[in-house]
Amino acid sequence: MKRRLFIKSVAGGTLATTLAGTEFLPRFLGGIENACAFSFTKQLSSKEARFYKRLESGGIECQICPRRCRVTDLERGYCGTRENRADKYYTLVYGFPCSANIDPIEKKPLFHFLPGARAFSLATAGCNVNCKFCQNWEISQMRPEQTDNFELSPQAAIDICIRERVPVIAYTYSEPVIFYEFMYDIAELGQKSGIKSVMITGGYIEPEPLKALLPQLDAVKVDLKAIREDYYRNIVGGQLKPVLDAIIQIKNSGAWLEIVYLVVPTLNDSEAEFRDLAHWIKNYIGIETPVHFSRFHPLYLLKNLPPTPQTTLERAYEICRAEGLEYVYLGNLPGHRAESTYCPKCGKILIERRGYQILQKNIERNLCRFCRKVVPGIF
Amino acid sequence: MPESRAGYILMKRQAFFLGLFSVGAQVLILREVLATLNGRELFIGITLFAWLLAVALGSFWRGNEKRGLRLKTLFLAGSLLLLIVLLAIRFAPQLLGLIPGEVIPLGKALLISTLAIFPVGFVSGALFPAITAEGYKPAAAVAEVYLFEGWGAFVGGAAVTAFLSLSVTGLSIAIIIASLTLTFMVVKKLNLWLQSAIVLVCALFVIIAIPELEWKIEKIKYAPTEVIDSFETPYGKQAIIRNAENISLITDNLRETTFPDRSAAEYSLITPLLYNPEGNSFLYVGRGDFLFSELADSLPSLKIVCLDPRAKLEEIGSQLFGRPSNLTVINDDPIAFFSRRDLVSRFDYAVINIGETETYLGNRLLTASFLSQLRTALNPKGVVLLNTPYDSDRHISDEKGRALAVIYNSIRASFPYVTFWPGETTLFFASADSVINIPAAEIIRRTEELGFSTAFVNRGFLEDRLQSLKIARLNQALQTDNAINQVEKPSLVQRGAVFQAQTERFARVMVTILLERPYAAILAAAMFIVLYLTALIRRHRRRNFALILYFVAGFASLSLELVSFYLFQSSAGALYSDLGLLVGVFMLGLALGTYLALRSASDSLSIPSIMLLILASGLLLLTYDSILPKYALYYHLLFLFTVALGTGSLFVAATGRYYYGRAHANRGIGYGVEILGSSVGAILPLTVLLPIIGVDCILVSILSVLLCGALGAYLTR
Repeated sequence: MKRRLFIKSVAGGTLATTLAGTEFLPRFLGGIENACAFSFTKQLSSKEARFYKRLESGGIECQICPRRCRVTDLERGYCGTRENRADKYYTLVYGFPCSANIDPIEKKPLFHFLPGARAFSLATAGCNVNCKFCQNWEISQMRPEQTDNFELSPQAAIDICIRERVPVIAYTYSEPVIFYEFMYDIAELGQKSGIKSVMITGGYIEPEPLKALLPQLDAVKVDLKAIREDYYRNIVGGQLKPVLDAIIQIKNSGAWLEIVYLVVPTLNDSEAEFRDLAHWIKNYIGIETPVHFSRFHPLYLLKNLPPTPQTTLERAYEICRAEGLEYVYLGNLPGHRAESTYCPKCGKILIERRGYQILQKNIERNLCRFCRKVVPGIF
Repeated sequence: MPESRAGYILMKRQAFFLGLFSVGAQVLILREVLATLNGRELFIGITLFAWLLAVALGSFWRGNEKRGLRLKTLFLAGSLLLLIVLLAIRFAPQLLGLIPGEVIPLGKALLISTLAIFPVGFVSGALFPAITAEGYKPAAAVAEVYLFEGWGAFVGGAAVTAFLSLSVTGLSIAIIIASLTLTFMVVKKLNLWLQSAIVLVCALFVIIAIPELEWKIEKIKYAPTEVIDSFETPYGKQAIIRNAENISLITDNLRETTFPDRSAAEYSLITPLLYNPEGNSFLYVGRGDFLFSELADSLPSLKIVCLDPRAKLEEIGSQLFGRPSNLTVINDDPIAFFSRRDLVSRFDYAVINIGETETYLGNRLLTASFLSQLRTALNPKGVVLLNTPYDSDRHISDEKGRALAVIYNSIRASFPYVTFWPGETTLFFASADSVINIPAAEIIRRTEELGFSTAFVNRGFLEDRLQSLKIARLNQALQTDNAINQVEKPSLVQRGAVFQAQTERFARVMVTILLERPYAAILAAAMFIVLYLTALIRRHRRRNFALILYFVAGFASLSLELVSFYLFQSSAGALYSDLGLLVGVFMLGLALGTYLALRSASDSLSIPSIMLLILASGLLLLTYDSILPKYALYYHLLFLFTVALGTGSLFVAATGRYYYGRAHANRGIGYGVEILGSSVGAILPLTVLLPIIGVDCILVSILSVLLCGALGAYLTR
C-alpha cells in the first residue's frame, strides 16, 4: 500500500470513528421527515466513474466535462468529487448527497413542465466551474469531506418520491454533471416507476455523456450565464462554446428545455448581449424555447454588487419579445406580468403565477383553451 | 542630549514631527486599507501587526547602521511613500483585476496591505534611531525622543481626528501631513513664518482641490455605475451609487443596503406584524430610510423610528427617497441610544438588521446584554426581529450552523420565547410573551389579513419557506453550538469569521491557525518564557532584562488599549466618534509619563511603573462590567491615561537600564523591541484570543506578563 493511501486511510478511519460518535439522527415533523431520517456521514463512495480513459503515460483523463482533467494517482479532478486510484476513476459522491429538499417546480425555474408540481431536489458537493455569484457555493465549492452528507441510494430516492407523492426528481443546487452516475441511476429507476427527472445544470458537459444521459431525463434547465466568452472565462471559470453545444444537443434530443439567464448588473446586462442571446436562441433552438431572466442577488464573491434593477430585466424582456421569442419570463419579480404564461397567438393568460403559486391554468392537453394553439411543454 | 542647545531643539522638533507623521500615516493607511480591502477584525489585527512589525524592523535596521540614511532622506521618503501608498491602496482592486463589487480575497488583501504598509512603517521606525543618533548620551536621547514623539503623536492624532470629523478626506489629510513634514523637516532652512505660510497655503489648496480629484477617483472605482455622492464620516467611508432605479449605500466598500429592495423591506417591516397585529410603534436599527421609505406609506398607522448615527446619510436619504410622514430618523449610536435614555416599554416591534457578524462593531448588537436592554424597551407583547445574512433555505454548513446557533442562544438568553424562519435570510423572532408561538400555517393565513398586497410575504412564498423540513433542518443546526455571544466573550465574531473564511482556501487555513487553533498564542507565550528566562540567567542581567521590560511595556500598553476600545464600543458608544479623544488622552498620558520619569531622580522606576500598570489592569478586570454606560467614556479615559503613564515611565526605566554608559549601542533596539511587543499585543489578545477565552482571561494573561516583568525587574535590580 502506498504511503499516501495509508496515511489517508488511517486519517479517514480516525475521523470517521470520531465523527460516528457525533452523528445526529434528526426526526422531522410530518411529511417527508417521517419517511426518512438522515444520518450525516463523512463517508465517501467508491463507485467507478464513467467516461474516462487511461493515459498511456499513466494517469487518467476524465471525459465527463470539457475540462478534461488529467488526474494522476490519488489526485482528483477540478470538481473534487472524482478520484484516480491506481488508474481507475471513482466517483466519491455516489449515494451521498448533501442537500435534499422538496421544492415547487417553479423555483427551479421550470414553467412549462408540470406546473404546480413539487420536485424532490438533490445535490452533492462539488462543481466543475466556480461562478462568482454562486448561490450554493457552500456545497458547490467544497469537497465531499467538507459537507454533511447522508446516505441515499437511488432506490431510496425513488421510494421517497413515491411515498410523498412527489412526481419529479430534480438534480440541482450544485452541478449534477459531477454526480453523473448517481443522477443517471436514479433517473433510470425513476423512469420505471413513473417518476420524472429534471436536470438543473450549467450545461458544462461533454457530448458523449450528455447523449447517454438525455434518454433518462424528461426536462433540462440550463443556466446560460452569458453569451460572451470572456464572461465565462473571468466570472464563471469555464467556456461558453461547450455550453451552447450542449443546449443544442438537448434541444435536438427531444427532452424539454428551458433556459435561464442570470442578469448580473454591469457584467452581462447590456442591450447588445440581450439581443445576441435572443438571436442565438431564435437561430439555434427556436423561439418556442422558454427563456427566464433571473434577478441577481448579492452573494458569495459578488456580494457587494447591487441586485439587478427591475428595469434592466424588463429591458431584456422587451428585447427578446421584440426579436420574436414567444415565452420570456422574469424571475424574482412577484406580481409582474412576465411571471405568467400567455398564449403567443391570442394573448390570453395560460398560466397565472404569483411567486410559486399557480392561480389559474388555461391549458388543456398542451392546447390554449381559448384559441387551441399548441403550447410547448409537458403539462 | 545633544551637546548644543540648538541641537537639542532640533532633536525635539524632529521627534515631534516623527510622532505627528507616524500616527497620521498609521491612521490614514489603516483607514484606507480597511475601507478599500473590506477590513474585518482578523484583517485589522494582522494589518496592525504588520505595521508595528515594519516599524520595529525599521528601528532595528537604522539603529544598527553607523552611517545610515540621513534624516532628511527618511522624512522625504516617508512623505512621498505615504501619498503613493494611499493611492495604490485605493486602486488595489483594479490593479488586482477584480470586478467592482467583488469581495477581495483575504490572501490578496493581506498581501496588498502588507506591501503597502511596510515601506511607510519601516521608514517611520527608522526615523526614531536616526533622530536619537543626534544625541550625545544614548539613554537620555532615546527617552527624550520618545517623549517628544509622544507629544507629536498626540497632536497628530488630535489633528487627524479633527479633520476627519470635518469630513476632510484621507488623501487631503495625507497631503497636509506630507507638506508639513517636507516643509519643516526636508526643505532647507526657511524663516518659520514662511514655512507656516507655505503649509497653510498647501492645506487650503488641498482642502479645496483634492475633493474634486477624489470624486474622479470614485467615479473610476465604481464605473460603470453612477456615483451620486461619496464622503467620509467618523463611522467609515460612504458612497451612494445608482444603477438604473437602484440606489445602493456602500460603506467601506461593502454594500449595506439597496433601494428598492422589496423583499428585504417586506421581511423587515411586515413579518413582525404577523405575530402581533395590534402594535404600531416600530424601531428599526439601521438605515431604514434607505430600505422601506416606499413601503412605509402602505402602513400609515405604523410609527417607524430608524436609529443610525450617520447624520449626513439622513439628509441624503431624505433628498433621494423623500420621507414618509410616519418615519423618523434618530441620529445616534444604538448602544449609546439605549444607555442614555429611559426607554421602558416604548416599542411594539424592534428590528435589527445584523449585517456582517465577523466584526466587533456589528457583533455588539447581538450580545445577550444588549438584547436584554432591548427587551426592556419593548412592550409586554413586543416582538423583536433579527434579520441575519445567513441562507438556510437549501442546506446549512457546519460553520454556518454554528454561527446561527450562537445567535439563537444569545437571543434565548434574553427572551423566553424565540422562533425562527429558514430562508435566504434566516430570521429570528423573539418576545417576552407567547405571541410568537404560532404555527407556520397560522402565520401564512395571517398574511391574507394584512389589508394590502404583498409581493413576498404571502402564501406563494411562505409555504415554501416555512416547510417543516426546512424548519427541522434549521432547528438541528441550532443545536450545534451552545456558546452565547457576550461582551465578555464575543463568540459570534469567531463563528462568523470561520464561516466567511470558507469562501477562500487561504482564508480557511489562516482562520484555522489563528482563530480555531491558536498556535500563534502558544508560540508567542513559549518564546516569551524562553527569552525571559534567558534574560534572567545570562550575563549583564540588568541590562538584558531591559529588553524584556521594553517588550512588556509595548505588549501591555497596546493590549490594554485595544481591550479598552473594545469594551467601550461594546457597552457604551461608537468608537469612531470618540476614538480621537481616547487615543489623544492615551498619547497625552504617554508623553506625561515619559516626561515625569525623565524628570525623576530615581533610577529604579521599573517596578513602580509596572505596579501602576498592574493596578490599572486589575481595576479594569474587577470593574469593567459594573460601570454605568453614561460614565463609560470617563472611565476608559482615566484607564487609558493611567496605562499610558505607566508605559511612558516604564519605557524610560528600561532605557536607563539598557543604554546607560553605552554610547555605541543600537539606538533603535529598545524602541524596536517595545514596538515588537506592541505588534504582539495588537494581534493576540483582541483578534485571536478574545472570542476564545474572553476578556477576563485576557486581562489575567496581561496581568501575568506584568507580574513576570515586575518579578524579573526585582531580581535584576
